[in-house]
Amino acid sequence: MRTRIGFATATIFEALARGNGFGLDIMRETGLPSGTVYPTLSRAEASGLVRGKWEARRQADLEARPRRRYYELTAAGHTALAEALTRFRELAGGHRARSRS
Amino acid sequence: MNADRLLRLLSRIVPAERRADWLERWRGELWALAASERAPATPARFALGAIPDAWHECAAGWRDAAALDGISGDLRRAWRAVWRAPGASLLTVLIVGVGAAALTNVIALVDATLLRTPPAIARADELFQIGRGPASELDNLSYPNVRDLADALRPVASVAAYADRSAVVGAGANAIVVAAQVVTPEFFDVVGVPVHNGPGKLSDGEPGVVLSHRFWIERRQEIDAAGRWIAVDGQPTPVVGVAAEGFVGVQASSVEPAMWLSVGTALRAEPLRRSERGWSWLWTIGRRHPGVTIEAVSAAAASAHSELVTRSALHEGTLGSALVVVDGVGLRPADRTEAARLSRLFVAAAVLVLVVALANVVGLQLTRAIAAAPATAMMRALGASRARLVRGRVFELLILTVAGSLVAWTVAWSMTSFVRATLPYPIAVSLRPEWRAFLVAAAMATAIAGALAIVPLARASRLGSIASLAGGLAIAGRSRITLALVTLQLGVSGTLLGVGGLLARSIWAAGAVDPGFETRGVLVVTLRPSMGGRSAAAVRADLIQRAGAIAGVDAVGLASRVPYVGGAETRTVTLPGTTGENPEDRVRLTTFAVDAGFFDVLRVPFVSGGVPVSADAMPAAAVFTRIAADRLWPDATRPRHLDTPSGRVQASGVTADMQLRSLRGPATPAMFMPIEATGEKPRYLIVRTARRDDVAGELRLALSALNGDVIVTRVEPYPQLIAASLPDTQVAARLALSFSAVAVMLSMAGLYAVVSRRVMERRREFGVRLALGATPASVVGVVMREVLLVAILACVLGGAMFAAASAAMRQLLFGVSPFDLQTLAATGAGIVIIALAAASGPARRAGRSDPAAALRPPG
Repeated sequence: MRTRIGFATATIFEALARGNGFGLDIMRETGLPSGTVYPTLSRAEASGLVRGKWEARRQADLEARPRRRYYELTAAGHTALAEALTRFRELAGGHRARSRS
Repeated sequence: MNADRLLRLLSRIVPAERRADWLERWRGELWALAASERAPATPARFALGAIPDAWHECAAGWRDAAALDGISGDLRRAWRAVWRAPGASLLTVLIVGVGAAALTNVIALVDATLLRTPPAIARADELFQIGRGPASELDNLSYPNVRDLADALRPVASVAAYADRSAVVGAGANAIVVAAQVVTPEFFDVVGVPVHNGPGKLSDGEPGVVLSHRFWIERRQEIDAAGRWIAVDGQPTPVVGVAAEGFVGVQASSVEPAMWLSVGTALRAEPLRRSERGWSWLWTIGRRHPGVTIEAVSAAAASAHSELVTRSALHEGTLGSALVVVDGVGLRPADRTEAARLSRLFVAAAVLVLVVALANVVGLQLTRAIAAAPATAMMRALGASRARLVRGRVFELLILTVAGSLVAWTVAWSMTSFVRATLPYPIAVSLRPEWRAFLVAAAMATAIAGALAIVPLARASRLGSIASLAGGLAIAGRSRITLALVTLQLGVSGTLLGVGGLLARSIWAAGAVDPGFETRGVLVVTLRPSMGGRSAAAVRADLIQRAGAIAGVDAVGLASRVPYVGGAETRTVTLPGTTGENPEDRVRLTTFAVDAGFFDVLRVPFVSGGVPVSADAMPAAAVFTRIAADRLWPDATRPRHLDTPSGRVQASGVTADMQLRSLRGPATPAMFMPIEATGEKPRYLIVRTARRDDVAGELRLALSALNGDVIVTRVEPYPQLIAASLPDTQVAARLALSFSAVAVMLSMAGLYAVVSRRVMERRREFGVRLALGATPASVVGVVMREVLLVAILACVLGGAMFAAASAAMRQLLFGVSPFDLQTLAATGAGIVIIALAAASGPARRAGRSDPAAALRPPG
């Protein structure tokens, strides 16, 4: 079943697609607050659109810090992102046509 | 609060299995934020974003299939637990049902009397009441004054008036007495109630009646068959219409009328009421014209009062010092104050009963939770959390309170008649609880039960330890406190029982009191004079002849008024030889118009003289009570005559002192005048008979032939009527006995729970006793002796409270001492029996303790 995603989710997915795997990086890239980014990542992970992985414990232990969770888009996530971008372009195109007329 | 502390706090709502990962994820990001040079947010602002994420995790946990299975599984287990203990469950349901029902009825009463306006009235907020002041004791007006007031207020309001009365409908043996109201022609227009099935217009001068919808449905066929005429007070009267369904008048505190009579109908037998300006009998209401405020009506009323008083001196004495306007209808101001006071008492009592009831229910549940400690320990060992165990117990309690609320609905409906009978004033509106009242009571019962249950059930869930698995039990440690509370409950129950018993004995004593004349074996027949053409003398003779002809009737008497029945009429006379200007020279006499048979029936003892020989004697003669005679003629050597506005009255006889107005008061100064000399038709016929069968029916039949002149409305034993002269005592007795019944039930439940817990706590002790050779009966005796001690303590405590309560309500008692030993002893015995009965079940269980299981070592 295809999953339709909203604009904020699409923005986050776009950031993931550009290689920003950590939530903090996504926040910097998109300007969205933590209360939007992290719940969206959790929901997307539960829906199978995003895959989360813990970084290696050894690295975190060496740096004496908690582990971080790294995210990446799954194939379904890529599909959902592409569909969302197409939808948004069509919406923007229709708006421009109406504005010129 | 720093960011990490916020994260730790929020992690508590994340399901346990995800909590560690969730916290680490956020802490990892927080660390990275703190270490980065271009932080997109402050740590605190960043951590705030964890709130929706934690909530999402919590909601996801609840949506988890495993959690749903847990809830449905807990519900199924709770349902099975309820069925496995039918006795305790039924008791809980009944307790909750009665408690919630009491609260439902009280809410319905408050709603019907104080919050809602009587039904079927259009735009009730435009209505007002008007009468002689002060506002707190709004008083009625005379018919001429109502007409003048209606004319004076016409620019601002429409005015109408009504008065309560009874009417005799039908003829002969089929005659019945119904509640009715006399109304002015504008009444139905003012209240905005449509009148169907007829011209709908009553006239002051012509007879006519508007029927209530309920009465019309019951009597439609016979009224239609009679050409829409109905016999009212023995006279055919046209039916001009039927009031809209549900209309019961404008006053909640009256009996629901069956019909509304025109002034012309009602005053056929009492024409003086139409013209007597000083005879105030009509309650007056009005409807403001659109756009007119209540303040404008008040100002207009004040202006009308001044104008009317100035116009005629006659108005001054009959309109009072001011005319007062009170917004709204439903209850008169005095009744509203009384209703509000009673409502507060009822609500407080009902809430107290409900809280105590639910506390008992929680105690029962706690006992069951402790009994289920081994099962609880097993569930803990298998991984169930404490929250889940508490949830299961709460589900049990909720099932029982919901079931109890359903029982409450049934009980509340059936208690409506009892509530109506308990009130010291009649109520016309329906007191049946609506669904809103029931929902409020059920919600309160469920909420209170839940709130009371959380802490003790959570504590009980701690008992699921390894020791519990092995059969040992952690001592709850609070059994003495709960035992003390149960002792208090038993004591309160005893107090209420004792108080109710004293009041009941007072009512019985009132019926057996000797007021100075004989009431046993006397029947009082209430008559309503109708518009027959025969003379009063002929009617009196006929009454005496017909009543006297009935087998077993030993004596017959007639009276305009009978002591303790139908109110009292008084006349102030001046002491002979004085001008009466000094208040001490005036004597207020209670007057009765009676025939010679009156004294025979009541066996009134005469001190001197007797009844007048002839009613036509000149000067007129009357009988006086001794206290009146001593006051009027202290010098026994002087002639005994009295000058009144209607002429000189000679004392033909003096009776012994009698209590003619109040059983508690002193002897009544009274004067008995010959009814023959007054020209009145009698309102009461009294007969003395030794028969115990239905003489009343024969009397009605024999007197039915006189329906053209007088109509029989009631036939009642005189002692019963005298007992009814103590309405406060009757109301208090009903309340005390009904609350005591509830208190006893609660006490039994509480004692059952506490004794059950004590038995569980001492299971090992009982096992040791049995192992050492004690008989089951002796173990039962151990438990019962402890309960007996509790009962004795309750009797002592209850006795002290009873003494205080009975001394405080001394004025309600009659013929019995506040410290009556018989009542005290009976109440004490009752408390002991109740306590032993409540404890018998747990005591028998103690006797059946298994020594082997009790002696098994823990661990």
